[in-house]
Amino acid sequence: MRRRHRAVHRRVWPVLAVILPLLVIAAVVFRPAGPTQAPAVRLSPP
Amino acid sequence: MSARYAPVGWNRSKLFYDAILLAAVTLYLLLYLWVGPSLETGTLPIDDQTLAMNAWGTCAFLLLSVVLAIGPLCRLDPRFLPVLYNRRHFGVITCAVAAGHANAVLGWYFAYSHVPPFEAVLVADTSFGQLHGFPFVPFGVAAFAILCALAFTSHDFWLAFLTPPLWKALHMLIYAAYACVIVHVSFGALQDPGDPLLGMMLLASAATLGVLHVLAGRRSVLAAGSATDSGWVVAADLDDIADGHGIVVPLKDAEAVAIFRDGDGLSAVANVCAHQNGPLGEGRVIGGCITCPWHGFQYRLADGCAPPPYTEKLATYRLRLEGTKVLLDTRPNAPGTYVEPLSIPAEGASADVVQA
Repeated sequence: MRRRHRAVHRRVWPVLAVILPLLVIAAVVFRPAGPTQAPAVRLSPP
Repeated sequence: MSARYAPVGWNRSKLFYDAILLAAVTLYLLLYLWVGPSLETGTLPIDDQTLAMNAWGTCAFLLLSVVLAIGPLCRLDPRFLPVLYNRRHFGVITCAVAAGHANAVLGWYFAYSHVPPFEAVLVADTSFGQLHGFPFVPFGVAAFAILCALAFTSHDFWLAFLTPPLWKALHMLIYAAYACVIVHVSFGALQDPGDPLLGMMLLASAATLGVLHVLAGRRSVLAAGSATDSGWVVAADLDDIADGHGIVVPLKDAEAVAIFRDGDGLSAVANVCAHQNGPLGEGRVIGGCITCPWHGFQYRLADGCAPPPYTEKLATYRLRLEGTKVLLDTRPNAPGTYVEPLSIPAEGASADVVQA
């Protein structure tokens, strides 16, 4: 029984080890760029 | 011992472990909440509620990462084993910290919702068809639900009630919870440009855990002895087995075997405790009996039987000594079969081949 669980570990983690870091990188790379990333513009007083 | 539920008692080391963990969590939260605002570089200061959400959330994520690292670290280096023994408490504390994060979220984003907060959190964001703005809240809810289920069933009562195979299968959902957390943060907090530390933390955690688990899995496969036609494998070197302790010998396509040394005798039994599948090879020899590290169940070295009046029995194995190499016959004897402990010759004595 423990052997079956170890086999599941061995199958699941190689997949997660690739997918999860890629997901994080993709989330950063493809995050929307917009005015929020531009430097703040200080308005001059009227 | 044989036929009733046996709770795990509190002991000094468990209390110490929990105290250290709670102190670390408290210190982290206090530092985040008090020191964090002074390190802010944005033009708009972060509000207290968001700061609290981030503090609880990052703390829960770090705890979850550590919990998941304990298993492979122990397989790679036995010095981490003391951390493994109280891992369930670690998991429950992780769930409690995640509850702090959920509480902060519900109190800030959903406090004025026209539907109850618990309902609002489920229906507020369901636009799964788009990449930008992909809903991240449901993944957090799913991860928290899994953590709650695991924390609730972490007590030994549930291990006995559900039976070890089902309990273990249920608790392997922690991997799904971790994946959900990664999605939750990636599509949530990570979408806000700003502090790169969160992204680095997320990436470091996912990569480290992935590498640790893959390495641990590979190591157990490489270490697994392949039996020859005769069924014997080289299990260990005599010096690897300390007096009063055991080692775990992984086998290819078979359950692992635990080999124990008691004085000048060596004995081998199945590594899986008959009580709740504890790893016997990580236990010790106490009072002449193999003692499971989980609940203290005991078995005699020579025949793998629990001492009377208990009735549990383990499969036993034959051992042989060639020089300093301990050889193991991978074909198990019927549970409870007597095998004379393998006698270790005194130093200097001829020990070419000794067989039990």
